[in-house]
Amino acid sequence: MTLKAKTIIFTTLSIVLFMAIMIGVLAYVLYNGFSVVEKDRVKLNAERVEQAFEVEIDNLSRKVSDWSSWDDTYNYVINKNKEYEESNLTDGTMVNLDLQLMAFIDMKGAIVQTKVHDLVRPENREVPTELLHKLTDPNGLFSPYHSGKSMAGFVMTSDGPFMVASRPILTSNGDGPPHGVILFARFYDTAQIKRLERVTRQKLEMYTFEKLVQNHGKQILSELQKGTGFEGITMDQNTVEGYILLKDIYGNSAFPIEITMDRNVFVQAQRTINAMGFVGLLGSVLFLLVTLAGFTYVVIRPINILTKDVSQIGKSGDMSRRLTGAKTKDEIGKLSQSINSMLQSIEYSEHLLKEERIRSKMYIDIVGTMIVVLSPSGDVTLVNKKACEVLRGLEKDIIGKNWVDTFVPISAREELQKKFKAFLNNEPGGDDMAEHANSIIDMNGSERLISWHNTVLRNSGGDPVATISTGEDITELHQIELEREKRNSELEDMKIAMLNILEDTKQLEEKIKVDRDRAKAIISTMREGLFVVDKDQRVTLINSAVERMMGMKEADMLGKKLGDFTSYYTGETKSSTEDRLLSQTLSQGSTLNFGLEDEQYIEGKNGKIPIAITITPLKENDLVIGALISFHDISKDKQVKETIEREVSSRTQELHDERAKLIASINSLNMGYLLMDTTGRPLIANSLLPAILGSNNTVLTIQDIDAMFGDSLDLVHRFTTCITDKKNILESNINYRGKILKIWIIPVVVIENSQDKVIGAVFLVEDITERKVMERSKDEFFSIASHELRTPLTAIRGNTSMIIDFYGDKITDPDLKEMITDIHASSLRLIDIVNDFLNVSRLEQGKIEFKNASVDLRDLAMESVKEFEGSALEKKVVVRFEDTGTVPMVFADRDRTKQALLNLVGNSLKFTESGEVVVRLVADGDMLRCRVNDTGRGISKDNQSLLFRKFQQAGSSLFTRDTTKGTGLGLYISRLIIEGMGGKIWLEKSEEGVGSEFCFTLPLAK
Amino acid sequence: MAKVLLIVEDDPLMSRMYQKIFSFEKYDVATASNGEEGLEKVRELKPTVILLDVMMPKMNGLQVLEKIKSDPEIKHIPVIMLTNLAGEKDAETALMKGAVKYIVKSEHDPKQIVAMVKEIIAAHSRDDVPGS
Repeated sequence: MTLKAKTIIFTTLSIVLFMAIMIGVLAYVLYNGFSVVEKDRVKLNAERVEQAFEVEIDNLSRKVSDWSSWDDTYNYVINKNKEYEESNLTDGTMVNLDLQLMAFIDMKGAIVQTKVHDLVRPENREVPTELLHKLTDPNGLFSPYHSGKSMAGFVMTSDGPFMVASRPILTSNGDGPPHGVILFARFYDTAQIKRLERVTRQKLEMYTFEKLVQNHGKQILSELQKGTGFEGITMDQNTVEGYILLKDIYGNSAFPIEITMDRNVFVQAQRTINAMGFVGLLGSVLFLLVTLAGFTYVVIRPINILTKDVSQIGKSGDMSRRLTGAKTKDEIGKLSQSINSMLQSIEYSEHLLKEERIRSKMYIDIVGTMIVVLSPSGDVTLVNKKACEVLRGLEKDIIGKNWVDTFVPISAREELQKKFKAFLNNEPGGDDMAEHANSIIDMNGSERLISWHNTVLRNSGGDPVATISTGEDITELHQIELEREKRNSELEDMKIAMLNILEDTKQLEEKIKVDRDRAKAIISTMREGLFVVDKDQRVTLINSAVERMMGMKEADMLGKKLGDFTSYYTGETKSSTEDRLLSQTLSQGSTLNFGLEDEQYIEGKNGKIPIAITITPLKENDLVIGALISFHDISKDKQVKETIEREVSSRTQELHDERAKLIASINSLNMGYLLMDTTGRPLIANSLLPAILGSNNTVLTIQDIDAMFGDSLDLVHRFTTCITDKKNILESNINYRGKILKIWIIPVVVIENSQDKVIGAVFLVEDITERKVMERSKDEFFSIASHELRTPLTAIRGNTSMIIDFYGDKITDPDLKEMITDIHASSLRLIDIVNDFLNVSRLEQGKIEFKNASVDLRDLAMESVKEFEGSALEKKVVVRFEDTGTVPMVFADRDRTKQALLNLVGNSLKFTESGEVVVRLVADGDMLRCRVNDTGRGISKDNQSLLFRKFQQAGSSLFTRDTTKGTGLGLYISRLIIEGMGGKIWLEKSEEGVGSEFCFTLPLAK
Repeated sequence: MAKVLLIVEDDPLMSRMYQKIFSFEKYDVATASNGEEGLEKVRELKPTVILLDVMMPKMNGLQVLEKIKSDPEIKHIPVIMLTNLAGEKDAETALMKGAVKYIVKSEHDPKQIVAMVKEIIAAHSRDDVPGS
């Protein structure tokens, strides 16, 4: 900001401040002063108004006095004569006196007479009772008829204020005694105030307290009541108001009166202030302008001149020049003189410095290395002669240039700047700047390589002031070095190239040789005969297959025309040389191809052979220069083909047969048959399928069938399982529409690439309802029959035994007795048979539950043997158990085991006539073996194998059965029992006439 | 006092046979030809022992047995089951329900049955009235 601007701002600010203060003070003093004056004026006027009210009251008082001191009135109040009334109490009187009410009251307070006159409403003759009441109240402060005193003032009623005056009525000369009181009352309303306004020449308004409080707040009311009864208020710029409070006759506040005045004085003061402000402003501006002009002339101009001179000297650097403004005697003149003497000192110092620099420059220039001094910003401040030579520039062109921007190649600038900065500030990264080499671009634009030695010059504070760099131009040295390296490398490359060429040549030769050999080998080993002919059909190449097929030597064929030593046939027709296929190829350049079916023959010395032939033209630049004929003997192929055709037709026949058989088989199947692909789509089905399933639809998918089965069987799921798991699915006993069905789903698996692949599935359904019914009835037959047989048999047995027991002594005939005994025996045997049947039936049906537990077979053996003691004794055969001490417990059903053991021992005893039956127990691994040996008749080899079968008796046919020996079910039952408990039963050995050994094993208890 | 024996048996062949043998042996014999009648007779006669067939019309022997054993008045009377069923299941069920013995009719001569009944009556009398 210039000096001038600063001056303007400060001066203006001070003037503005001054004006503001001045106007402020003035306004405060004047306005307040004038306000007081105005209020005083209002007060004065108020007092005048107050006086006016007093005068009014006085007037009324005088009027009433006139009437009270009148003999006629005095008489009237005594005798109330009508003449007085008629002549005096008229409307005219009321108008003249400006009265609302005239009242005569006697000394007891009773109203004698009243006269009412309402100016506004003449018809109203109503006495203002409230007023009268107030006035005549014996307890009121104002009781004129008692005191006999005169009273005057305001009385407030709800209708408004009344001005009243009263006096006691006396005679004209003022003698008493008073006989009453006369009272005048005037209603005080706006009209009265207007009249007063005219009298006092003030603007007045009658107020109520409410209105006052409403307009100015409660404050003013209390101020009015406690103060002098006046309060002034400045309303606005144009009016000032004052209020006086009038008192009533009791001394209470009656009503306020507002006095309004124009603010003439204030307006005048305002104008004065405005005028003063304007004048002050004008003066200020004038002052400002004058001051500025003076300031500019006296201060700014010389300073400007001084500044200009100094800067010129600075720019020119000519310290010998001096300032011109030094002549004046003021402060600026003194400043100029000081500057001049300073310039003198600088001029001298500079002179010394110059001498010094020239001297040092000389030293530097003598030096043979480059010397460059850079400022910290990188500008060149000094170069020596050598440096100029290397940089190919004049010293004056180099000095002042930024080193990096001028001499360093663009690509290296940024890097070098960074390093230079680090070097200056002793930061990491600048270390290698002390000794380094870099490329520079000289003034002519050629690149030089310089080796530098750099030092930083620092001031006492350690801040860098300059860098001194000494440099050596090593461009040529470097060039020579590079050249030498390049030569070496070129020589090396050449050597390698030579070696490569040698190697390649060798490889190429080998490859060609291999290719040629291979071609030769291929041609000679080819089964195909191969001729290569030129365009004259002369043979130029033959392979060994041709020699073999033609039965001629290569030498006999080479160079000869093909037609000279071969003949060619199509079918039976011999082709002439011109017609031959070869001629077509040579003339048209087309490739010809004939195969097995084309009946082509060639004839050499070996006779006519059927061939397949290919003739390919050999071309050079689109010209046919020869042809390649390859052919082979197809006589064998022809035979093979015929064989294959025969085979195919016979296979097809077989296939048809197979298919017919398959269809016949499928149709003859006693089952519903459906062959499907993997999606369940039908391929083959037989007619039984819809019949069994009860469907009218002959084409059924697995999904259709699944739908027919409903929720009872998820066929699709099973079908999918079958396909994915390659697993047969079998569902037996399926209830379907009153039938019992058996269903198979069997995957069709083929082996493809040695892997199983499912290509579909066969769905089979068989109606087994009938069979099931049959099976069940067969199973039940034995069971039911046995049951039903037993009851009558029991009756026969019981009754015959009772006959023998109770009537035995009565039957004397031995024949009869024998018959009865036989009947009894028969019934016993029948019961046994029936029991056996029942046992077999139950065992076979699995109806017998084995209650396996730990069983001591030793106990069981002893028990069983004991049971045979009686019958054994009869037969004189010994039945014994060979006890060898305790044996391990077996896991078996005790009763069933005993049944089997009894059966074995019983059998043995049955067929043993002499000797003994021995039971033994021996350990057998994790089983216990029971052996039953006898010395009986033995079993022939033929019969041994049938022993444990149903209804098989050793050595018997149906006609030779020994019915006394039982049903032949015993061993069968034993087998079912033992095997049912996890054991085995077998015939260990048997020899006819010597005896047998039966064995069984049972698992040990754990 | 004569022993009163009740035979509950639907097959007249059997019923007559057992009636005979027990009469020979001086028992008072009463018979019933079905389960319901049997149960009535039991309540009416309070027999010393009851021979009860298993397979019968109207109410089978096992059901009758159950009723007897659930009636405090008659449940002390020993019941011997008579049957032609050789099945162990029926034997077990009957014994579990309170029968004292299980006799397969065809396996025994009538005399043997009498012996068994005697044994049972003896055992029960000993328990009931000592010294009688």
